[in-house]
Amino acid sequence: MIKIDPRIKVILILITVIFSIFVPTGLYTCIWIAMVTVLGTMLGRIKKTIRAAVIFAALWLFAIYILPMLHGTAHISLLVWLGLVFKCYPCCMLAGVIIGTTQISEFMAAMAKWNLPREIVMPLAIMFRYFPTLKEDWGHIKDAMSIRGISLSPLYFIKRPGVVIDALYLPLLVTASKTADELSSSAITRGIENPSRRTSRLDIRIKYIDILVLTIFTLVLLLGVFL
Amino acid sequence: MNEGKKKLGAKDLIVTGIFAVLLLMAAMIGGGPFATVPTLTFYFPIGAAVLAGPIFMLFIAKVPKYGALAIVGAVLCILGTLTGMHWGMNFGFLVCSIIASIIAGIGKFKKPVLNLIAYLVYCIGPMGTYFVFFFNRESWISFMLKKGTEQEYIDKMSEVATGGMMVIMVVGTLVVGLLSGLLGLRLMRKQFIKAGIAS
Repeated sequence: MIKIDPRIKVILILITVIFSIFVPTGLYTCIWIAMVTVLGTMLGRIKKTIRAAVIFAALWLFAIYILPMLHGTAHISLLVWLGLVFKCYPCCMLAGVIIGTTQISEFMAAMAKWNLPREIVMPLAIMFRYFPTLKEDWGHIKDAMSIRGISLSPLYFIKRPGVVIDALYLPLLVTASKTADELSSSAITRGIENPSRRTSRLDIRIKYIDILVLTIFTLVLLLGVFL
Repeated sequence: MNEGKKKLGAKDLIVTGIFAVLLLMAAMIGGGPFATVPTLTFYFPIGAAVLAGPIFMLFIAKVPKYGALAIVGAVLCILGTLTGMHWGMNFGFLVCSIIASIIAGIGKFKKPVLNLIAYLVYCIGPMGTYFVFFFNRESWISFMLKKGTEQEYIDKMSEVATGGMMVIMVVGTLVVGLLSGLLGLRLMRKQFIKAGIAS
């Protein structure tokens, strides 16, 4: 298990974005996925990282061995789709690893060290915080709908669209705005509007391991671009 | 709400964050099925425009300030970059959100018609990626050719992709966005203002 500075994580993502733009899909994509897999495993997110790597391997083998056997429209559309998937996969996988292994307070503290504007950091932090809450609220809304006998199936929607729209949007948006009010009062109580510099108890420094990871990724990027 | 103040307070930022999640989820749920089916990838913007209307309208009513929509655009742009979306989509989001913010701002975020136009502009955002895609195909076409795809397949695909698809994509998105935005305005008028959530 290692820990990496959130700032380095953001830089790693940027490197991966540059990688997907400049390096054509090929051997280096596989190498990159392998690197991300190792990184994710070492950061302690083992199960999901390995699952993502296996899915990638399956798609890759499919593209190499089974795709040439197909013909016609299916072949073209799969080709287009796989091309896009292989472009996005390294970034998505790394982003998943990083979002899964970074705490919000850690993230906020690191971004404060970079002096990023509050207007950007705060909505981002709230977003990470709000996703699980939204999932929970969604479950409750679905339960309430089934109690009233409203289902989300297309058939029911065609029969009574007004009811479904009201029962879906109203509770969702009302709970969302309530949550926003509650979160903001709790954050203001804890002094988020304080104009002075944010301090943190967490130890956020760039260590040797950070430099090592950064060097490896940069080297592979350079190799991929120039070879 | 606090109309005199131009600067965004902590509360506005938090509301912005939460509504950014909702807008993102609406785009994912509406557009996701299209993005995963190979032949329908190009209809993603239409799907993304289906659900977001009411959320967009309530958001404008809750934070009637210039910066708010631009921040949603910036945040979605950053998130898109982090997950490796095409940069065309990210900057499309950013630019269209800023334009939408200005359009809605002309009517002080209160005029329904201007809000509707703003929503339409916002819906055009995700299309940025496809516009770029149509001009910048060489890089991955060369890769595909290396892997043994015949040239005529690519030509055929280009034909399908550029002509009718673009028109269907743009017109479809505008029509769907209009319907969704109207639904949003109706919900605002009928429900949210009465419930006291938005003024």
